[in-house]
Amino acid sequence: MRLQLGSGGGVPTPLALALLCLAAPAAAQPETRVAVDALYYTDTDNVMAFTPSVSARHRFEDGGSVGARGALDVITAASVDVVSHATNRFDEARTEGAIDFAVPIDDALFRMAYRASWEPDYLSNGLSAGLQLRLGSADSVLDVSYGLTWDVVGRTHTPWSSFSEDLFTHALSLSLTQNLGPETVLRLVYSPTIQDGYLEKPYRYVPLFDDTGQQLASRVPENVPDLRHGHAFGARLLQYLEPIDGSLRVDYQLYVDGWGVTGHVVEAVGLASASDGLRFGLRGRFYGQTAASFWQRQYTVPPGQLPRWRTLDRDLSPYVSVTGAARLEWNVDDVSGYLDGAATYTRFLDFLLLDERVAIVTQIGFRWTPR
Amino acid sequence: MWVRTLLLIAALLAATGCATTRPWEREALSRGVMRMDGDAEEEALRHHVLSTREGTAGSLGGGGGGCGCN
Repeated sequence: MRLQLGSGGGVPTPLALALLCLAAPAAAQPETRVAVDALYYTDTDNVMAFTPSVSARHRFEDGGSVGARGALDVITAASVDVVSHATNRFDEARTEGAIDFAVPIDDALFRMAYRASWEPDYLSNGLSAGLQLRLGSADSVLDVSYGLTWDVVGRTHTPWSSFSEDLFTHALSLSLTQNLGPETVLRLVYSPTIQDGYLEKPYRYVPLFDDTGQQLASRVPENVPDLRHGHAFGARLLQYLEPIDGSLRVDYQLYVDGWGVTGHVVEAVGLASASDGLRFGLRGRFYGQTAASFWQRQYTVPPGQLPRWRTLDRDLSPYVSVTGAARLEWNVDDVSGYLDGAATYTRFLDFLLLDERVAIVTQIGFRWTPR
Repeated sequence: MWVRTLLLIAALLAATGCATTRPWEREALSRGVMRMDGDAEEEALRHHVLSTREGTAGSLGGGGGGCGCN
């Protein structure tokens, strides 16, 4: 069923329009797929991470699906904020598991997912649910989802009974994906988030300075507000490029929050087909953010006093980063894969311990879909 | 207040739901290069890195779009 606007009498309400537009999702061929991915990250701040993951997914004919995923994060860090706390380096492993399913219900697709990750000093559980609804045809798709994450923050070599703090994150997402024509798709997204709980890092101790600029002998634990409201507004435009059988995708996202941080993301991705089973891609990304209202490069205090809010978190300081990336995708019979390499330059504009960082991220993946 | 705002946004989004392509016009939309969302497993790894390297980076994930083939 399709709806042609602008014909007929009267002015229908938005809800009536939405109900009129409902149509059943199209059926799909059943399919089972096994995926193996690996990511290697290294940067000039002496951080290295290797993350392999494996997953399996089965799609049913009615559009439903079930999936499971496992990942391992091996991290070695001797970054400047680590060594500034008189620690040479740390090595850590994080394990993650996730399951999800999707079920068609009448004209909608309902989905749920659960994710858990654990490491020696951090536990995380996330549960999410979403509903996808076609508004009349495949041209307009509304998606609403909600996720609740419960994190438990601990300290290495400290029993959970001696130190543990909770952090709850509520994330809502509302998106509309609209085909603007036979070769153009637009998506608008609004995502409010609330973080409630322990938002500090137990290892971060903030240096204090007197009014002559001399660092005081002792550092104090980081302390930030327990509540953070964020709002992200995003747009994604995808355009088919017929001469190269490729596409150009442009994303923009604006983020604002109650701590005074404003962030901008601009990303452009170009893909071109070399043959039926071979594609090349280029990606460029800009990220920039302002500082939190309570951010200071140096906290200068009168003797015997402490600033109520103090932090050493780089992600609350102003900085910009640019990324350039290239990728290759291939498909041979039942096996497909990709290789993606990216380099990111980050400039910290007001951070005491670090001015710049260059990071290299390499990612490779294989998909096996028996037919 | 927020609930009312969200309902208003949802109603406005729903109001825009309308057909702009006919089934036989969706050949380009069905091409592999026209996936609105990347591969889920690949994106999961990539966003894990972004979430630790960019303070406010979120996701532009959503649902559907394109040819509506599956």
